[in-house]
Amino acid sequence: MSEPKSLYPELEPLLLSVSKPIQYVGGEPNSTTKAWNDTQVHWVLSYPDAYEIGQPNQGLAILYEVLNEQDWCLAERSFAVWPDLGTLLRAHSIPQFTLETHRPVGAFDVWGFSLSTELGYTNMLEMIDLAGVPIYSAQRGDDDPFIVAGGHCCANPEPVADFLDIVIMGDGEQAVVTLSTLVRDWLASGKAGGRDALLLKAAATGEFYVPRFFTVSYDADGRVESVIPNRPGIPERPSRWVLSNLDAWPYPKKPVVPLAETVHERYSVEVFRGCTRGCRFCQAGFITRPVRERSKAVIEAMAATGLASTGFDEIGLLSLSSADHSQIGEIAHEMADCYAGSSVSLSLPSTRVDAFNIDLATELARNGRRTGLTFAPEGGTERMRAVINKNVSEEDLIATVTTAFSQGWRAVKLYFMCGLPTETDEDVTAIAAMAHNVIKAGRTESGRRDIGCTISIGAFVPKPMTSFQWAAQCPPEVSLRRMRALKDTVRADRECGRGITVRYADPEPSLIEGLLARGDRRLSGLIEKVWRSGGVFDGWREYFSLERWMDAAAASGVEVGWYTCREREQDEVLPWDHLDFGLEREWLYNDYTDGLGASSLPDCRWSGCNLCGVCPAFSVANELAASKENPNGKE
Amino acid sequence: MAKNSPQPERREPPEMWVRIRYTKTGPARFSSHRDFSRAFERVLRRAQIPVAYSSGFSPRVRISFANVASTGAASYAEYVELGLAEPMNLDILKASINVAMPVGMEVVTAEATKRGAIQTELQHSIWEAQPFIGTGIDEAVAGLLAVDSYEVTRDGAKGAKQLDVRPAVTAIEVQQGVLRVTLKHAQPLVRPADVVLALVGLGASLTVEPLYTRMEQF
Repeated sequence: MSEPKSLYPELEPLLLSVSKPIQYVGGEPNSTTKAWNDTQVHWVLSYPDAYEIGQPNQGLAILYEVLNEQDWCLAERSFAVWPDLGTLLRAHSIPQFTLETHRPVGAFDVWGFSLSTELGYTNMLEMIDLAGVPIYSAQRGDDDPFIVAGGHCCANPEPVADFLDIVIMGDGEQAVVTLSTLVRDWLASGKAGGRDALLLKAAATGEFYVPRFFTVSYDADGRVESVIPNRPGIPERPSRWVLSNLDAWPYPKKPVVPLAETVHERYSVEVFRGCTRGCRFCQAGFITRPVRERSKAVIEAMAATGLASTGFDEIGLLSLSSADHSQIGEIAHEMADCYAGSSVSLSLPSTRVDAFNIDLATELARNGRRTGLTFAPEGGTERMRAVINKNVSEEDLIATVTTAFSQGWRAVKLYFMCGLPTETDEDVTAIAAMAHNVIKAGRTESGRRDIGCTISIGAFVPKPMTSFQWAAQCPPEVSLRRMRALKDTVRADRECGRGITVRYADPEPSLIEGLLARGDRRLSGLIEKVWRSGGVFDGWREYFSLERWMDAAAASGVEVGWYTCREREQDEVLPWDHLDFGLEREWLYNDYTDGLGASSLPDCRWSGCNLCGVCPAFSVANELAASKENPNGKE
Repeated sequence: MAKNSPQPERREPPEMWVRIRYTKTGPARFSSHRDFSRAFERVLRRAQIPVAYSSGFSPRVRISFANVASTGAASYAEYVELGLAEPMNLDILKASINVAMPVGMEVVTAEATKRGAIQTELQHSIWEAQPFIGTGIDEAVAGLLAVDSYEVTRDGAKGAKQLDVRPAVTAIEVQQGVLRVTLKHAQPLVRPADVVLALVGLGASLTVEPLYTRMEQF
């Protein structure tokens, strides 16, 4: 395709009358602009939310660099525009544009969406439509971009399958380059065989899922009966990409530095990918196994070059549970030494509840104020925590916070979920007693009254590819009743209640999240209907409307309760069963029933293989940095 | 009594203050003051400028701004004062910063200064608005110059605000579709858009909404 023109001259006058116009102009340090005609495969990378949410996304930053490092590829970015600009764009017939060169997105060859929350689906449709591209895959022509999705929602992309041309499951680094090669060859052939020729070639590898080459049938009760390829030569179970040796992939090296304010303003180093703790609710843990750690040397080098290339003054040590890195103690100590006396701060998201976590937090906050510490017990009672396999006793928690208070910390934040399988009202109100004990321990240890405990609680949503994929979602009214009862119990606590703050998230969006998470292809019409009736930015409280979703569901004949609050039978075909994330279905089901019986399961990093199936499926294994440097495993 | 957080060390006052004049043009015109100050601190770190920091638990870069152009307005004459922890060759400072600046932002001059001088020494701005085409423009300009006071109502985020435009206007002319106006800095600050409101009030009718650019401060 010939070089598309910049839309900036038409866009510029409109930017005077919209909020935060800086988010639409590009030109940020480290953004990459390449000549259209010097490159063969032209990508757009999108996150279906506003710039402030999408720009800091780590996955997008990695793929942006990986693609732009190929001299024959070009990758630009495009995010959702807020409705004020969206209305103006439609009024002036200006399509969705990229930030780097303000070229129309519809002129590119491949358009990748990072899907990490189901509540972004309506924004994806809005962006595709605003680009002038047909929203349904089947309606696109040879000159439209291939719409590719990646991210955690691809554990079950079925509700949006009709809108997508290609789905990439798992790690994207190698997948995007392989896909680009296929597209380059197809373009060089003069698009021989049309759009389907490229899609067939991709699907035949078994590493790209092309939804339209699979036919879904349903049984008399409305359950999925089968999902099978409708073209010859396509593997029945497309599989996930798994990257080994993260040290060989030290991205992002120089991420874009936003001019507009965003939700995370730091340089993040992914210290490892994957998690084997086996928390039964955690989709991220199940779909990213096994653990693949970066070595200490690479982490430290990435932090140094990342800071130099961005000018950020914060380093985030990112992963699903960073305190579990086999060398985290040394890493924290050495980095705290390295940046002592500078304006650089360090942060480490961690959900662990043990004394080691306090040592780390104290080390990382060496220069700063010890304000708050975060722990995630997730469940209010010992039994509840055994059900979800979050194995921490209340004694551990109290011992941990006592250590924290003795080291000068004054406040702790505790994360919980509500509506977990087998949960009773008492499991939730028990959280109040736990917080009470935390405050008492803190006051005793520190000799101060100004000890605070914040309880943050949200509704649990069962997700595909987890042990709880069969579980019934708790109705939002039940979750709400339990969370309110918790708040009342805290309020009635005369001794400690004033030190405790309860924050709970509205469970209504969680119902729709649950519907879309475990839905099937029959939901595409519903998503379209919601979007056509004005539904966008569903992840934002001020835009989300449960009524709009329920009205559209009623009009589309979708029974929301059947998808959300119904426990699936063991032999029921789940809409995502044909997607291979390496997990043995039988193992997963046994883990589900073990969970219902409050039976816990140890972490395979430290207690031997649990036979979940992932490692043999992809010929991989846990990669721990400590044992790599010292094969005897001794420090 | 438990051990408290350690007290942070006290930092030395800056060794040198630098007055930097920079531009905000092209896409950068859409940056707000907050956007620029965040971006500029990162530029200083990327360029490894030895900036001075304040003392305290959250040390801040020793930097001060004056008369910042509003979001959407371009400028060839924005100023900041920057404290350095150690003296530095200012040509090298300028060149290092420019390598690290975002598109549309560029240092024009960097010179040694006394702290706080930009507040007191920069008393006027010359603004241009263009395209400035329509009917009744010359008459409105003459009308504004002929009075001692002219009140306009500016609509802002905090509601409507009345202010007198005329005392701030020290020179005004329209030539070849460009409005050029010199405004004295005062409280409340009169912006070029307020002057345009006044001209519209005096009978001018503009074909299109103009874009504003600050040309000079003195």
